[in-house]
Amino acid sequence: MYELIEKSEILNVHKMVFAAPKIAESIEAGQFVIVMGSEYGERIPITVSDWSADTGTIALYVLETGMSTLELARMKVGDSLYAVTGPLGVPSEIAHYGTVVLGGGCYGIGGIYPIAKACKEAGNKVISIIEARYSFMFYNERELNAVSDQVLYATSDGSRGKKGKIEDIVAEILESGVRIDQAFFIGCTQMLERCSEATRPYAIPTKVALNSIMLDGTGMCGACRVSVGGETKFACVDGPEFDGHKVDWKELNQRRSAYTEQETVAYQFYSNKQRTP
Amino acid sequence: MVELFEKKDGATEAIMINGKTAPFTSGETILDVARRSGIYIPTLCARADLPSTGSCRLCIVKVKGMKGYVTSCATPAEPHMVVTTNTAEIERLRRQILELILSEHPSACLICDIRETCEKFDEPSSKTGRVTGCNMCPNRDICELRQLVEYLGLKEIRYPILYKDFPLERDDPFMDRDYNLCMLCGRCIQICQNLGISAISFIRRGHNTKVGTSFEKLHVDGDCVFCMHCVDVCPTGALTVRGSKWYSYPERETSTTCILCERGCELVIDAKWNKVTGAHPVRDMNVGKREYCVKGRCCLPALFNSPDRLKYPAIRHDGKMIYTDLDSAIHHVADILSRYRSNNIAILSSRYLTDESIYTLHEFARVYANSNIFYCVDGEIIFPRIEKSEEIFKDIEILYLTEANSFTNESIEKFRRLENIIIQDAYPSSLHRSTKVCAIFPTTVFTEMNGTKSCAGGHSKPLIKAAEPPGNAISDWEITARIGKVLNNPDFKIKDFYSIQNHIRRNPQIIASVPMVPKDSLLYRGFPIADFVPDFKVFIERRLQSKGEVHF
Repeated sequence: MYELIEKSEILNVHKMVFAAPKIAESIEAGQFVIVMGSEYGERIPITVSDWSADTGTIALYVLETGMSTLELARMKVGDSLYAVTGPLGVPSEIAHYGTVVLGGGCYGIGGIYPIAKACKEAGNKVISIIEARYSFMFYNERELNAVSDQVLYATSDGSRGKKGKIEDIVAEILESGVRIDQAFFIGCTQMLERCSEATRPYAIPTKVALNSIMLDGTGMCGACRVSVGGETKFACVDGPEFDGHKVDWKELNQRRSAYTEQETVAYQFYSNKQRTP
Repeated sequence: MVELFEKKDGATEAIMINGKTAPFTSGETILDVARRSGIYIPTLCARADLPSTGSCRLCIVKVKGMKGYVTSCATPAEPHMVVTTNTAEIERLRRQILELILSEHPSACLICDIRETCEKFDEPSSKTGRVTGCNMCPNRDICELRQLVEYLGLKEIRYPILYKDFPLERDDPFMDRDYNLCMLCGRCIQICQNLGISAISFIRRGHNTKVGTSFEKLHVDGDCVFCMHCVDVCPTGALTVRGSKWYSYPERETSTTCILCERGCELVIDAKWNKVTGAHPVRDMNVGKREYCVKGRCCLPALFNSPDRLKYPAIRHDGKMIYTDLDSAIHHVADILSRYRSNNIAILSSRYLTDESIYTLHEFARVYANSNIFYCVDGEIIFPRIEKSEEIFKDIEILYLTEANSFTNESIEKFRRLENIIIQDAYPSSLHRSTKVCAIFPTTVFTEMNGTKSCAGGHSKPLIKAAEPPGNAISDWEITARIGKVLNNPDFKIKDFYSIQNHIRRNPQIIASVPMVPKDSLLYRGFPIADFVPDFKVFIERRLQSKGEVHF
């Protein structure tokens, strides 16, 4: 079950294609799965970037960011996950908006693809903006180009596109007088916050996919709770997408660092099981 | 030789650095003289304790009468030299050199527009595999490259940043290597050679040059001893200790002694969240000799933070073990002990205890157990200083064990009349499930207590508390002393820590009689270290496979 069929790495982001036919049949854009690398492993929520009901596979872009994702990153083709739960979360609200801007950084470059595809199919003008530190850190470009009217790049070192971040490009677009009817952002919390601030002055409807710490993913435990517009919401069943202008970012960041100690200590007991001579 | 010394002591000759006269001794480089005179010259490769290689070129200076600029680390001082270290032109050249170095180092964070907010933000969460920028790098707080960027005020890198795309090397125990961050300063190779190990060298050619082992074998299959001195001298985040790299700054650094073997190496314990997070040499280490083995350098965090550690005292009540507070457990044990004659009590001491704990146990044995105290060394029973043999075991009805793993449920059968076992240990052993166990005391390990330890050569070395013990664990001597006090024999003279130290000073023969822990020991308190440190297990297995033996 859940065999790893294809794997490649683009500087810390691992594209992993798993066999999960039931999930591939029913998943929609914006939804995620929870995977477990081993029986005693952590449950990791991951946005599904692509899927095919024909081949029965789902494609995930996994950013290595701790002990559990390290274990995923070290899997080899042919290995299997212990468990996959999904599809989880509310699918993205897709409609005929007009012009849609999608912003993705890190794993979000893969994450925005299904939403871009769905928006394009719904007849929208799709502008995808992706950011990375260097030009060689972009991935999934061909696929993204195929479903976007325009793909814009931002790099920290200025080696491709604009030197800067997504919000700089968003600001540029808005200043040039182009009307944006809907924005979606997927990436690290800091990037989501910055992008939401960029769209706020223009009151553009902004959806951000939050990445709070999550356990069961079905609304039972409450570990993923976030404050949105003063209300407590569960990222797993009410999200993962929320109105970026209403999210309490400070609380989210605090909650995300709740287990720093345990996450750090875990490395002391790590031993790579796939050690090869 | 004598002549050479005389000349050195003479130190009459001098050079002029930045208009200041600086005396030198023959053989010193310009950099040596400048450092001694308090003049800063930036370097990335040269260290005072390693031979110069002149690889980073950042230490260039102008010497009057010499063509161009020379590297101060590789140019010997000569009489009447006039050296300038900090003209605008030199600074400009240094910035250019640094730019070139950074163009082959993932350094986008250094020139990123949102650098400051990002650095504050990303600290707790990102523990990446590949480092693609400073804000993800475990070394960023102590990175010499970053310090130099600050010093030279570098704001932009005009060259395209190249990523070498070497695969991560994470298959070795304890050590992670990412040569995409390496700037080929060669310090790691130098120190490895200096220590007489020479496990690594520059391999491949041209742009593909990197540091590696012969035939690019894993370090564990080569000559590497995992002393991690290469990690200590690495100016970037290329070399890291996997278990300790994500802690950022430790909350506390404590200099103490490693007592895993008789050598008793001095080491600095890093602690955060009251836990041991790492161990490293003292900062001004002398890299001429290897100070540490893999046990002290890499195994301590996992060994002492093990979730298996005993945390709370337990006593047998109505046939079941229940947790209780320390005082109740001590009274419970004292009550049981008082029911037996001293001839029927025996005590197993441990070589891994501090001098204070060992002395207290001996004193306890003298007063309450007819001096029935013994050690277990590689399965053999040793009675120090007293003419006793295993003959006494046939009468023993109660055992007080401080190294419970030395016995198994089978080997304990030789105590035929045994009724009760008192366990005082840091980890649970198979014996814990025995129905004869009447009390279990959790104890501290050596990083969690103050004290002294006699090491090889009779040196008594200090132990300083570096981390907090888990749960209600307390030190061995305290448990023994408190039981002794409750038993209330006026002959038992242990009062407090200082009284024990006075006793030890008056009766040094007791500590001198304790068997030493050989340097190749794989145990701590009778437990295999590998049971708690998975990477150590890998290390031993691979060493036995490739070399047939394990030495430290």
